[in-house]
Amino acid sequence: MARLDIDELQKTFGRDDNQIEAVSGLSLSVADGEFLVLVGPSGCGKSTTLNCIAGLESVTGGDIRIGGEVVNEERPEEREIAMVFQGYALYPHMTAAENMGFGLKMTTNLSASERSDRVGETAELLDIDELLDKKPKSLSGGQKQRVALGRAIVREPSVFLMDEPLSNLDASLRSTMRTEIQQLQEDLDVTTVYVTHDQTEAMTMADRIAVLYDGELQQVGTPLDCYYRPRNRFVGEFIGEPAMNTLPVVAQGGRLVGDGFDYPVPERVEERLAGRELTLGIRPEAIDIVEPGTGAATGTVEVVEPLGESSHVYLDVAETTVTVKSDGPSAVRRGDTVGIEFPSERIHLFRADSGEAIARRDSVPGEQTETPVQTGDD
Amino acid sequence: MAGATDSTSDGRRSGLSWSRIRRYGYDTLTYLVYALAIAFFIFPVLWIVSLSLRNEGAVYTSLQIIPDNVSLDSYRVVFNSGILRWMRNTLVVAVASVAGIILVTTPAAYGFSRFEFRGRRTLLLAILGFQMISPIVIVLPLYDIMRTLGLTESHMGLVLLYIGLQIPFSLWLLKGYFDTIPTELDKAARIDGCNRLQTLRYVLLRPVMPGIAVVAIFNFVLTWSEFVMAYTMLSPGGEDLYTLSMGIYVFDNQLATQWTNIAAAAVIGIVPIIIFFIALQRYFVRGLTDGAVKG
Amino acid sequence: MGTESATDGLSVRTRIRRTVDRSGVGALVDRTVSSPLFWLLPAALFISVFQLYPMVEVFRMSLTDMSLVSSGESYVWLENYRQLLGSDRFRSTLRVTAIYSVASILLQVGLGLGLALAIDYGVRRNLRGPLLTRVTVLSAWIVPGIIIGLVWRIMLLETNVGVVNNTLGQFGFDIVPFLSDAQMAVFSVIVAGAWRGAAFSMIMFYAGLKRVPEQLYRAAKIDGAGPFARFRHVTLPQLKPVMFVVTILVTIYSLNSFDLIFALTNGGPGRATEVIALSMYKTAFNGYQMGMASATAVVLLVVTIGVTAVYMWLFDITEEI
Repeated sequence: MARLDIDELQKTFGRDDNQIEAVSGLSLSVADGEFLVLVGPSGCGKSTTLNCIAGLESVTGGDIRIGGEVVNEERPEEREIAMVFQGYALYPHMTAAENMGFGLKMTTNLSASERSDRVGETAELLDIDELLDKKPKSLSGGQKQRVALGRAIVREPSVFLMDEPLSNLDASLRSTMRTEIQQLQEDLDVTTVYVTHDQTEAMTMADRIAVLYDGELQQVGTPLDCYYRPRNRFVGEFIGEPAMNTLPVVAQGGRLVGDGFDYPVPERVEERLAGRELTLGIRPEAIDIVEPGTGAATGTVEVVEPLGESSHVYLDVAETTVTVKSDGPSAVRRGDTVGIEFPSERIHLFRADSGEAIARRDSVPGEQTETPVQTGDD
Repeated sequence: MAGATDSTSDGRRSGLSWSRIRRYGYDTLTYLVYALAIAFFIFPVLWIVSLSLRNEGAVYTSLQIIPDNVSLDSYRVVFNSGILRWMRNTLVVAVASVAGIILVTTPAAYGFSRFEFRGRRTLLLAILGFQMISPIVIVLPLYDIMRTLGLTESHMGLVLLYIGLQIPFSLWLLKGYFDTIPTELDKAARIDGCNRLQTLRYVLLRPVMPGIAVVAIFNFVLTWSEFVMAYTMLSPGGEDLYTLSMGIYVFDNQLATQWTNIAAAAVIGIVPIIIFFIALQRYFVRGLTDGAVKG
Repeated sequence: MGTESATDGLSVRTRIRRTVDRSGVGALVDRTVSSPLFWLLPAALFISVFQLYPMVEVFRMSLTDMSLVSSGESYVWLENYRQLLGSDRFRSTLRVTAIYSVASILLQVGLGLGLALAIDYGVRRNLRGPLLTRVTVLSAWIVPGIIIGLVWRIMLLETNVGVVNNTLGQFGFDIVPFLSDAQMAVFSVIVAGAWRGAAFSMIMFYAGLKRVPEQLYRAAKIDGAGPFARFRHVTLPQLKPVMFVVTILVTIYSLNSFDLIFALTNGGPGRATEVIALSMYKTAFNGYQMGMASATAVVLLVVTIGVTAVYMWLFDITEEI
């Protein structure tokens, strides 16, 4: 159990002219026992970062510190980390027990019986002790993932690394495992870095989320923080399902004006916005459907997706599609003309050029205590 | 006619329809092909066995496969001429070659599969190129080289030569097998504390075994049957050194008209290797079709 | 349970860690095995000695008058080639090789494909016999080439001992000079070669056929394609890469064919079946003229590469390999 610090991490691939900068200037800290999720679309550098932490990739620039010590030059087994992979990466010719005990065999001088004791304990913890003698090919996806987890746990690492471990599982299994992993992590209290492209996983499991895009850190904060106070448009659109709606607007005469759209400038926003081109962001769940002609804009209903406890309604507002999420069955039907309305504290404003957020709200609803360690400020 | 409904191949009892007639037609044609093929491909072998079992006078009896008087005389003659020694030589050379090829090729296949380095693609293409060149083209300089190195007239020399000649194909085949194993496994092994050697030994070797088996079988058969190189490098060394193929060829030249004896020799050249291969052909074919071989 | 083992581990932690070997030897081993050179070196050495260097050497030797019996050698540059390409003997050799190769390729590829299709069909239709056929055909491939030549020679003998002639005789035919007539000899050689080559071709095609995804056939059936149409539009295109490889390999084997012909006819009668490879070998080891023989080898190599290049162009291979 240790603290993990990433300091100005830079990772470049390739030589001379064909260089790709996979990660640039990433700085991040994970507190002892914290569950941090690295999230972002494919190619954003999250797996590369994880590999650098693990020691599977060498670092081009910057430092990685585990427990305060710089580990850049150390081999993976020297760093006291364990890793769980997307494809499980179980050794196909070994039994589950042998898989789990392999790391111990290679890096410690424990006797065979000591190893098998530890493997047994961990197997009980994960409820796979019945499966210890089986080979991976006779295990189901979920079982394989537990064995993979067991292999990591039995090493008693300082840091757990997980590379999209749930991506290969089907949806229902995924949500069960999500909860299990969370509980496991809390029980074991091991510093964990978890990589995923699925923002739902990030939101539900993390103590803190780090959003990456194109090799750069976009924002790090608690899930709610990223949800209510995104630092830029990318984070705003990435977090939240369905994705945030965005509309191009211009600040004119105290109003935000766009195509078929008109809205008063919120209080917290400063005056010097006149004439600025902005992007307005509003989450589907924050929008209410109202009478046409009232509200900020009017549109036609294109598609209604009933999901049972909620519905997604897709509106065509002046050639843009606006998604609205409402509770329960939808009151509108395809072809209806409706208006949309939303509270000003739920509005996000981003600069049209850089995507940077302006006038973020001060706090997150319900969150009173500890402002977590943040790099960079508003 | 009851509808031309083209049913699935498990056939519905839809009565006599064109499609069923057609299908029976194809079936019959196929059976005919099988019969012809089996006859054509097995006849020479059967015939030579039959010939070997006859005694001198009965050579002229035609198509009877099993002769009236089965006689093992020819085999006696052949065994007395040292064929066992030749078989032993061939076995030694084949086993040593296969061992050598595997020892040299496995690390190389690992290297090509698991490393990225400049010129990798070019090297692979070059190796593919070598594979396509028939050794007959270089037999002359090889003779010269082997002579200079003192490797002619020696089994050891022949083994080294075989290793060198067979690397391209074996390498290509084995690399394909390595490529089917995801690199995540290597990563997991590294995290578990293995360096590359340990990864290969503990983690990759077992999954790659089928590939190694294919390489072993293939090279064994090839080396056993090889003639040109053995003949060129070993003939000055005297009969004791000969491999089986060489021996049988020379035999044929010596005993020009004693057909039964030559037939016996040929049978000894054929039958063991056929038995060996039939016993293992399942692994061989499965190995080739299992996607490790591209196009 | 979980918390218990966690704290247990803590106190034990310092004991269970093996001392990480930071000594010189360990690091040196590590560095060595981390470089690709370590893995590739033995193979590279073998290939250099037994393939690369000879390739270069054969070119060099062809430019000399090197001989097996005398020790000196001097460079005669292109004289060997001039003599070779101008000689009647060589022209005849080229012709024989061409005829043999073309016939072999057509026969072997065709037979192999046909057999593979028949076997695949039989497997899919659960007929009896595909396995036996496959094994029988494969066995033909295993027989050493030299012995195949030998066996066929015995079978084609022009006395009553030769089973083919004996049988023909029973039906009232005259003895066919399989081996003593120039043209028949070529025919005999082609057939014997096909006996072995078709097996190889069949196995390759069969492997390729098995890899054609079943879904494509189903989709074609739904689109209304009959068996011939399915063959043309699904099977053949999927087999294109295999076809390419098989044809090239069969071509190379045929062009370079040696041991089977060596045993069957030894180039005879006269030079009727003397292919380039045989001619080269004889020049070297019967005529002792290594230089000239090397020139022949080089010509063979150039022809092989040329034909391969033509194939690549024909098959329009862009992304393969």
